[in-house]
Amino acid sequence: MRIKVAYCILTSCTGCKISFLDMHEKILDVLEKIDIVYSQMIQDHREVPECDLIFVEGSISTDEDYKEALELRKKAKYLVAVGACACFGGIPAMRNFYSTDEILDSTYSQKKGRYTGPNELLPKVKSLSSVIDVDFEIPGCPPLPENFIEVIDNYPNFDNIKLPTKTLCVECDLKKEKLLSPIREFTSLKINDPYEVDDTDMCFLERGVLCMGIATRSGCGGRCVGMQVPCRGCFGPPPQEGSEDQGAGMISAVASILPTGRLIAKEDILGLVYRYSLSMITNLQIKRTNEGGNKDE
Amino acid sequence: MKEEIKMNNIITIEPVSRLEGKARITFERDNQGEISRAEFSVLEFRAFEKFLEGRMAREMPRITPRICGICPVSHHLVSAKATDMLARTVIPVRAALHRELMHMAQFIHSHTLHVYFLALPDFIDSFKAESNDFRLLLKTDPDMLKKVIRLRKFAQYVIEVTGGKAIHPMSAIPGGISKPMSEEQRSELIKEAKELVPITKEILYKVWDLLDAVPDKLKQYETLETHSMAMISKNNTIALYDGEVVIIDKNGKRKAGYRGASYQKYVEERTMEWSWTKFPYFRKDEGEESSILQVGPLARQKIYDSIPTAIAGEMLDKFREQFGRYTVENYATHYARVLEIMYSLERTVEILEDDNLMNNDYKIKNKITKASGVGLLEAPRGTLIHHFESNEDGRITNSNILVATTFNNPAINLALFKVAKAQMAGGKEIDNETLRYIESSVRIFDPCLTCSSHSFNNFTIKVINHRGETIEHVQERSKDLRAT
Repeated sequence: MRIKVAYCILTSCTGCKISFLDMHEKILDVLEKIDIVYSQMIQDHREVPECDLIFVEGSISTDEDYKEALELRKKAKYLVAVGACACFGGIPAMRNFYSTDEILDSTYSQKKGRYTGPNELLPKVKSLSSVIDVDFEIPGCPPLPENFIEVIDNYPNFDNIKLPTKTLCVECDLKKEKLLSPIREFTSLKINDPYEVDDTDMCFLERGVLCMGIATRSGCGGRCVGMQVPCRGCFGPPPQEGSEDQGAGMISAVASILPTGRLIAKEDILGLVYRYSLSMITNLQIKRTNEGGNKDE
Repeated sequence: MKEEIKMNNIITIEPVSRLEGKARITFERDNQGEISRAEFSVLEFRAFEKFLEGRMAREMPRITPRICGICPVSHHLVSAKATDMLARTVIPVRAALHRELMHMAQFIHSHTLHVYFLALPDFIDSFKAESNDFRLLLKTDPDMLKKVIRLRKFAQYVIEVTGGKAIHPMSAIPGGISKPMSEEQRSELIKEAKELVPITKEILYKVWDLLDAVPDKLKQYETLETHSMAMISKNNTIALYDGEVVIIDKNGKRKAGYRGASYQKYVEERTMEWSWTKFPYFRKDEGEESSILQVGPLARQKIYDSIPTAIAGEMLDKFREQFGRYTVENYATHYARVLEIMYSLERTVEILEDDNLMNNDYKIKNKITKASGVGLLEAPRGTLIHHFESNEDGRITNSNILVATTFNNPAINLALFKVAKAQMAGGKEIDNETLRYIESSVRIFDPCLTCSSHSFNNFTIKVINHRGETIEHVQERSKDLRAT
């Protein structure tokens, strides 16, 4: 029996879907195991049927997203949240810095409350996982194509999938010295712009450049740091209990190793540490007062 | 997820299939049963311009790719170009070549995805199938499908090598690129690229023949007489990475050209309450009527004189013999897209063989302060503009993002209306076949809806309600952007 699979997209960039297609020739093997019953981007089916497995990409940004999420939960035996937006809000959640009125007024340049749009923007963008129960999460912006294959191969025993859980620093090949030794000094006496420092094989934090790796879940293979570009946290916080707040994790780590005074005035600290996970702190209440999103209710 | 719900005289199609992003089509019939209104509603909006404010300007190339997962490279590079200007740097040749290479690979990936996975299924099977999708190719031509997959795999790999990641790359930074490719990577890529040239030629001509063989009835996408806008090189050849943006009328007469912030002189926009995506128009002088613009492969073809590479050049001759340069047939867009795949691959080989790719500097150290920068680029779907302003601290104070699909939005709505009016005349019900006609009239633009719902809030704005009446007229210009 082939697994009946649907791929659904909420408010998102469809990058995760492209990552799915980036299995390239392996997709032909995967198609032997699964039967894609719904995928708006590559097929014409207009209704999601009851199915075994639904991949859902994207954040909950409009009233339609919210309704669709609840409906998908009912239709799926197993539901997997795909990508940064579904798992922890992702970049679209950066609009949570503002109210919807501010956003609509600036974008559609009209008198207050006048422009309504084709659907209703929710006051705050939420992650899929904070609205419904999900059976498994594959993080990343975007996740790796292999992650999809693992989910399909291990269906329905997702516990067998061992995604990395430590911080990106374990995957990063850049050299760390001061970070690993018990010293009381700062790793750098100055905080630098990433593009004003020399290329070396030293850790970015030791070069005085803000790198989110220290507060970010591993699993991406360290591709950004490998390209001499600091991490920006797209795999979200590590999954351990208590480290949900990626931004706080980053700030507390950096405070002890860099002279952070300058950050307050010069750096866009919130836009850096919460770039992918702002919805996790702006929606802290939601998980607790979640009305009716649970599968078991 | 409702299929064609009929309510009185309103017909709704949702979701619109085989395109990037979420949309709903709504038709209204008059009492005689004729289509009187057609709306193509874009259903998502993410407020990028708003939350880019206050972010560090140097981070733009890292944030804006998330506008679109299909063409992240375009947003990445155009942001990098705008931030180069903010950093007051002219990037080294080596960096420019790396970026252009990444861009060519993106054209191959994005166009291939559209042609073979989204559009082609309409042309290889009858309209009876429940879903026309790429799996049909498994039955009709598995060999071609394997070659297509190999080509896309190569393109995504080139982006990975030059950009760090195939989706949402990060190597283009203000002042150049963060890390150049190694000699081993280069020779690996050259080998595969050269092998792919004849294979690609073969599969592209196959599509050409398939497109030719389509019954005339299907080709009757309504003709559209619009202005066209695209980038062009100094020698009037095809330019996708750098050049002047030119606007021509339907007969090919040049109406305007710009390189930087003066794009603001030529475009005005309207807002419709039923779509998050706005409606931009070419603005003529005071008092004259504004016209619809089209961007993308067909618009580019009308604007460039020639293509400098061998096989794509040959394809262009064939195209112009078949349709004429200033064709009003929208169906020709498919062919124009096909020949761009060939050009991009041939250009990939050229760049890989250029020794400037491997020598000298690839970045200039910099720090962004108060400045204004405009990036222009031809994305796969058409002209793309990012316009940023930064303050002393290097933070963004104002941003403007103009996306290809947004430029095409009025033309998409017009095409949809014309096709629906013809296909559903005399109260004809929507059946599977009609639905495919209607959807393929939209699909031919390869609309990328995740990209499209963006503001550019510095123009004359007319708000029009669903009856087409103007309900508000705002003349609003940003003081800062205007000054540039």
